[in-house]
Amino acid sequence: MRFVSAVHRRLSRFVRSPEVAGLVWLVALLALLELSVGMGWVAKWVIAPPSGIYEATIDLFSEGVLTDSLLLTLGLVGVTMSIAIVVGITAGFLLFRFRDFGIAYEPWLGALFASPLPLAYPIFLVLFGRSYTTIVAMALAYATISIIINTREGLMGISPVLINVGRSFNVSPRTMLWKIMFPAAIPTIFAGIRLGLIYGLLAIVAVEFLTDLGGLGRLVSDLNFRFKVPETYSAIAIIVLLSALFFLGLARVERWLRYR
Amino acid sequence: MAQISLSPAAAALARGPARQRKIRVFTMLGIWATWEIVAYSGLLFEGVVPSSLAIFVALFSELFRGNFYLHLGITLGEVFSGFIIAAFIGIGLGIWMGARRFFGKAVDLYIGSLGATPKIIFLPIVMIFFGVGPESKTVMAVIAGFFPIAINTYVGMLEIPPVMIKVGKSFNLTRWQMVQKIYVPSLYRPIVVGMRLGLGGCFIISVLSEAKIANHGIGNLAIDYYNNYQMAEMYALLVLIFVMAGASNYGLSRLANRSRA
Repeated sequence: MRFVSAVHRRLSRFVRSPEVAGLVWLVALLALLELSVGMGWVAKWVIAPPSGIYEATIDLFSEGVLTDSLLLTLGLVGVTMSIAIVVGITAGFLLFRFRDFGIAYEPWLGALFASPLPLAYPIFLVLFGRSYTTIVAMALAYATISIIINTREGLMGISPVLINVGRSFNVSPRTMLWKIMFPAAIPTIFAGIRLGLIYGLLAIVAVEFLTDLGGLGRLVSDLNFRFKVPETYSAIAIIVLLSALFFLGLARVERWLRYR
Repeated sequence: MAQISLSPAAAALARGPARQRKIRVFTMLGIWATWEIVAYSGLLFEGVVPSSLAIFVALFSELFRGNFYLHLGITLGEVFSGFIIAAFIGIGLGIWMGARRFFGKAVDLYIGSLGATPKIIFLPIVMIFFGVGPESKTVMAVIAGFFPIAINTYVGMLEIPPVMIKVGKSFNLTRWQMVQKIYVPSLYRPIVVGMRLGLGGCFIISVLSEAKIANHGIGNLAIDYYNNYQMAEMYALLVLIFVMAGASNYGLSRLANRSRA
């Protein structure tokens, strides 16, 4: 009996939690959209009803268009991030190691990160032509900066106690770097990688959309051009879900790294 | 006369700023020299990298074309009207989310996730509602500017010491007085930081939307130059956009730092 009441109490607390309320509101909003299209308050070609978007998503998947675009975009993200992580951490380490260079370049990196970098995409287009290289180069420029900044910051912020412990054990510089300094800096570096990934995805999808080239971004542009309204909404929804997944998943990993 | 002697470490520190300045100057010169060498070497296809002189000349001839100011005005109008609307909605919603914790917790997942998506893909939807003119770009700017402002305001609200809120409540302040006397003063910094990010987003999204589909605006002009292969003019416009975005960013970060004093 006590068990049942405990379950009941937990269940009712869960039902009354803000997370559930948010979900209920979201479902209510979708139902309202469905209703307003169904009742003819809004034209079908203006807002696609959720049921139409669902059907369109199934269709796009069965045609294979969506899977191909999704894989292509994810592939571009993968290539970009692998290069960005290697280059970013190396550069960040060098800027930490050569202090004066670090101090000299730090404000520039900050300014570049705050600048509207995606607006430079025509330059990349001119340099690399309408190819995947353009997309990756543009995303790299955006994604690497935060990794460089955070790697340098992470290494500079290591508590001197850790370094002194290493010194008192007489470890070699190499061991010091790999066993003490990098592990201590990992949470900050990972925060940079997370930011880099979000910005990288942003740049990739934006350039795809603007140049009609590549995966999901091109798909949105293409479907929109052919006036396929529910399909356009469906592709947009997939991009929103993908970036939400990245955003929430990586936040979780970051929390785990920090409080390990 | 006593010789002032510095320890080696202190001497290195004293030499630091001068060395850093030297590094900056030489890097600048190096980048510029590389650019010019590439421009004149014929290494790349002709015109891909125009010389800095050509870009400078193009910039000036742009500035003396009457038509240019129409495009500039439209773009700046989109950016700043979108930004102002985004600031009002974003600050309002951020305060509301922070003041009503239940509401805040219920929606912050969705606001955060939407904030991380590439906003440019909403352009097709916005265009269905607002057409291809400046209105749709203004709405895009509102969307891009709203999220960082709302999120920063919300996080700022969560960081207000509860004591301050209790003081306000015990003085029986009305809701509006709470906003005026308690929330906004302690939110100054997060709001300005959010506005800085938001303004950057407004610039990016307006110009990119113009580049995609528009009849006016700097972004549209730049993409026209690209299509006609007028590279120096295209670079000149990009330089101009970056300078404008940089200047407004600098202005807002000056505002943000002032609050520290």
